[in-house]
Amino acid sequence: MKNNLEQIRKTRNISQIELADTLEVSRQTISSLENGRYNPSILLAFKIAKYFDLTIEDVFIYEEDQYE
Amino acid sequence: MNKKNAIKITIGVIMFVIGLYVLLVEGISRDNLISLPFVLIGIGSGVFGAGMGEVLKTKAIKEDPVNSKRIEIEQKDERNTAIANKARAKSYSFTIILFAAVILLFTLLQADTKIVLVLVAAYIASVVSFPIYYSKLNKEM
Repeated sequence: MKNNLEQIRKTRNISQIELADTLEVSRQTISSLENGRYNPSILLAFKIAKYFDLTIEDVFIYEEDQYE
Repeated sequence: MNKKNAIKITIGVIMFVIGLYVLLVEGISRDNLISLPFVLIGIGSGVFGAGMGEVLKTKAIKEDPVNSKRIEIEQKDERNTAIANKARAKSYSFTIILFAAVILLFTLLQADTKIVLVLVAAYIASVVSFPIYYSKLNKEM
């Protein structure tokens, strides 16, 4: 699953560590999310979207063919 | 020190002392108990170490609140948890294959039937635990 997390984070001038501390996850988790190596739980996806005052769809991009 | 760690440390020390007593005072003359003192010393040391480790970890966390928050986050982090669960699952698959190979090796080496049967029982218990946990989790999730 692709996402706009890095772009959104950089637009808001927030470091990975700051975001990680606020969301109470490790910095590696933020890094992995941004690289698309890790898909978050629905709970973390909501927390991220809520933190940026966006919807989940604004942050994460669902791709129809990703399970094929 | 919480109660659980205190119990661990106490049990560890008791087992270690008993093991040392049997080894040095009673001697290891009885054939059936030849390895008992060493087993007691080994398990005692392990249990003591586990309890003491927890006590020292708790102390270190209390003394450093900044790092303690980071450690707590690292422990609860969902990606770390997912990685640990996946590693455990892979380790289980590997262990099952390794276990079967060891049983086969023991059988080919014509080891004592009792030992082979104990290993087979342990292997079956490991394999059977999977559908049991699967069924339990299937009801819970």
